Amino acid sequence: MLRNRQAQDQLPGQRFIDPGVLSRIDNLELIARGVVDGFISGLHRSPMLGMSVDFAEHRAYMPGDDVRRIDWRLFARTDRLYVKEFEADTNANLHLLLDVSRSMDFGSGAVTKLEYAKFLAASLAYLSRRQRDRIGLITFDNEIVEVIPPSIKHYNLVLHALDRITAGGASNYSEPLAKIALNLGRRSLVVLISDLYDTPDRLLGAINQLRYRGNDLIVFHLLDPQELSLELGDVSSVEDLETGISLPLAAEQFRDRYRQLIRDHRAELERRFGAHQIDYIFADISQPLDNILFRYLSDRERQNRTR
Amino acid sequence: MGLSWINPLYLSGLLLLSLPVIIHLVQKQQGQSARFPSLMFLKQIPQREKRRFEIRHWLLLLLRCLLLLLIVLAFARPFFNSATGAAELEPGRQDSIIVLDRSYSMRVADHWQQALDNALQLVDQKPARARIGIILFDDEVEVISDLTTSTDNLRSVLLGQSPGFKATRLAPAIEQAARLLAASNASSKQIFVISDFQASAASARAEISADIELSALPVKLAEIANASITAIAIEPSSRPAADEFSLAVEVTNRGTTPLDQEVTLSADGRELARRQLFLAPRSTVTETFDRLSVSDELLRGSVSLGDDALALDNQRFFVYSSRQQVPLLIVEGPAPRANQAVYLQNALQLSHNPVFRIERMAIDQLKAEELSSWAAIIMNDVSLPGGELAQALADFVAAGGGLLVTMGTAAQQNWAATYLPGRPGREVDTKPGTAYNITDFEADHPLSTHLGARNTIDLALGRVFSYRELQPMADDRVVASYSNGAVALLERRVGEGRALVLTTTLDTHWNDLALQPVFLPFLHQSLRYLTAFEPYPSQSEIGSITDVMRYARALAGADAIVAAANDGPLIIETPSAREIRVSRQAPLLTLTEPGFYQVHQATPSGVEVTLAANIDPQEANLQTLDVARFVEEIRASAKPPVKGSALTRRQASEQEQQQQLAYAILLVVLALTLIEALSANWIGARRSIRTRGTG
Repeated sequence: MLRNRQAQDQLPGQRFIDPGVLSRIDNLELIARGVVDGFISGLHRSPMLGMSVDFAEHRAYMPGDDVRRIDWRLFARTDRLYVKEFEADTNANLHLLLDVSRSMDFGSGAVTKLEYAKFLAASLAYLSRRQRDRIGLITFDNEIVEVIPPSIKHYNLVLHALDRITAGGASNYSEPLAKIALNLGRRSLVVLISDLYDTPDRLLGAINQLRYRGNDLIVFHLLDPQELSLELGDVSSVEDLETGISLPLAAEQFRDRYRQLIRDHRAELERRFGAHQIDYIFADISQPLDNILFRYLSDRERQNRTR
Repeated sequence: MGLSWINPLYLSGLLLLSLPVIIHLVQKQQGQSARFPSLMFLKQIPQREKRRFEIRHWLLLLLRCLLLLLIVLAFARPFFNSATGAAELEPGRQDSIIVLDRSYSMRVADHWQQALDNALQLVDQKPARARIGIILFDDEVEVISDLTTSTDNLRSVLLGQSPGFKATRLAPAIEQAARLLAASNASSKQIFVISDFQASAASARAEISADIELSALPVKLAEIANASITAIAIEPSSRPAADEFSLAVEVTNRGTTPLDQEVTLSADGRELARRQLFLAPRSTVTETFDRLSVSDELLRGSVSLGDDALALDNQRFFVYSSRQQVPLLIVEGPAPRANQAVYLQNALQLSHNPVFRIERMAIDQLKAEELSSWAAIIMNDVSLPGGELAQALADFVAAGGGLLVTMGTAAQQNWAATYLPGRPGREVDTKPGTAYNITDFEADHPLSTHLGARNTIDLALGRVFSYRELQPMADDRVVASYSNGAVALLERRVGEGRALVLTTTLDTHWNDLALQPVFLPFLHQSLRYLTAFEPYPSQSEIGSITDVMRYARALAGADAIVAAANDGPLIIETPSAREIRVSRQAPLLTLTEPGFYQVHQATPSGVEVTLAANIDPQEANLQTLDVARFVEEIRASAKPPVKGSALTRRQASEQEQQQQLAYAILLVVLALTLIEALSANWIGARRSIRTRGTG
């Protein structure tokens, strides 16, 4: 995954584009499950009827309609003016929502969760750019940190932004996600990358605000192996990265209990998100990114085809 | 056999064992803190606080405790107390030490024979199983027989002894006997002190253990008439250029009968004078022999009285060296002021010890090759010479000569010479009606010690109206300063010699120092210091340890210093014509008999050195102490016996050194330290692997 990291590329954020990952997912597509509003033709189904080979319906001509779109054969048969409409394919908005709270700045291995998230976001941005989708990026912790509105030209801007992101304050989902939901505009593909340290109820409440706008929502849940196993070694206390609060700890004493709580949390999130048609992808950041992306994208593609 | 300790106090270091335990606990409590993304789930789990105070790494803790324990044990120096050590007391066993006085007072009448008879009687009457040891003492203690049951051995040892020439000290001998008995496990321990118990012998109280019985066996004192020479004092003549001296003799009659005694002064086998003295009972008379001339460089003389019961104290030996005259040269300018050297010369001529042989010379008559004829040269306000003479002066100082330079109106030329201290400057005059004083005399300087505190203070009485500035250089030492802080007396050491500069004159031209009483001692001591004068010791006491080369230095000066660097031992002939060889590098000789010790070829030029050794006059005082009270006082202050260890410290130390348990323990400590370091590293490495990335 990250083994061929070439940090010295021309673009500052280019290092997040890992050829190893891309070679694995290059032939996959990130297709919006629903229809998306787009301006140019693309891979996604558009709610608009436009120029396409797939005929949709006829409708009565209305003043202002382009006269070139009038079906003259039907006019000849019926003596009425009808306009011919086709189903259009369009491009989509991809909103990458990146949690940059301080808890993301943790990693027991080669990379932290935040770095992993950057690689993930960059890979998705690359994929979308190839699909001619508009790419935007919003980072947040307990408030919105940076917003790059979606645009087909913002690919490089997004990579720049990813490069300079550093972990910030404490995490909070409700307020920033509510603000983001208000400003998303047209229906979009929204990808949330976070470690999801909150109760499932609160998380769902916050994320559902995005869902209500008809957006297609994908949630990547990133965790470090130590967060899964609590293998902290010989430590007597742990300090919360975000709050600085210290807690005495005999890790080996309640490691099993902790693991059970994490498992339950993940299972609950998967169940609740699934129920709301939100894609939930769990990623152990010790696992190669290409594996996770490949598995998810191919699954999603398969589901789209069978739908 | 039990375990004993040389330094049991070190065992208190075992308290340190609590340290590793505390450290392990504290370390655990403080522990390492890991940073974790969120405590959301951890907070949901109830914790057990107790866990925090549990000790981890038990093996490491035990290892560290063991290390400390072994180090403390090693420092306490353990040993297995074997042999007679802590064994049970043996009932019916009797150990005794005979402490026999062999000081020269035992030569009086039949005192020695009585003492010997007493000792032999003790040996003969002892039970077969009883052990006896013998200690001989005067001002030193010698164990001539350890505890033994062999009567024959004891008798033969005793019969081979004779009294010596030294004074008596009782306490060290009794304490040595007590130490010997401390190692004994006999149920009865006794010390028999056989002595004439002179009052002068009990200067300190002996300390013995309470389980030792002390018995005194005084010899029966004969009523004797005894006169003794208790002191002689030699004073060189105060007349200039006269090789004469006077000698005072102190004679004491310690008996109860009046005595008529003849005092005879002899030198080199010739009788010089004889005087008749009447000595009243318990009285002291001093007789003086004046104007004794010295024919030889070194006079070997003696003062003696007529025969009496104690012959040894009737004679005292002395040596007198006429070479103790110190030749001085006063150098003046071609046109000196009137009386420029008068005060200086007169003051120096008044010195008795040493006698300064003074010569005056104008600077233009000074010849380089003649400089070595003088011990010190005084440049009395003259322009310093240059060229060959300057070099000769430098060589003169470097070879051990003394140079005193006074600064006045004469131009101070050629000062850049390396043998002179400081850099001279302008002439400084005080305002009319005012004067400077020499107020700051360096207290640590040898000259200050010789001069004495009183005289250094009195120097301030002199008024200095003018002086010449002198800036000290790196190697110079300011000996005295004026009240305004300017340098008054500056010194530089060059080779073996010394150069002193007085920044004012030694007449009344620039100051009135010469009119002060302190002028004489100041000049005398300054010249003694510059010439490194050491008075030749005219007499020494038996028992004293003497540096032979000190005598040679007093006689031959720098010649003796050269001799000390040579190889080969010094050959010393004792009064009884024995030959003793001592190294030139550590030429220490212990005087053991009265008379003259001849040191042959002490210097390359073949100077013969003679030492006069005399008995301690205190020992001639046969007045005795109250024996019963003496014994009672020692018994009263006896210490309770030390239980569990009857070994003396020396014996214990010997046993400990033979067994070398401490070294073995330290080797184990070394090995354990290695293991501890490896274990701690291994644990640390494991911990760091497990915690890496958590913070």
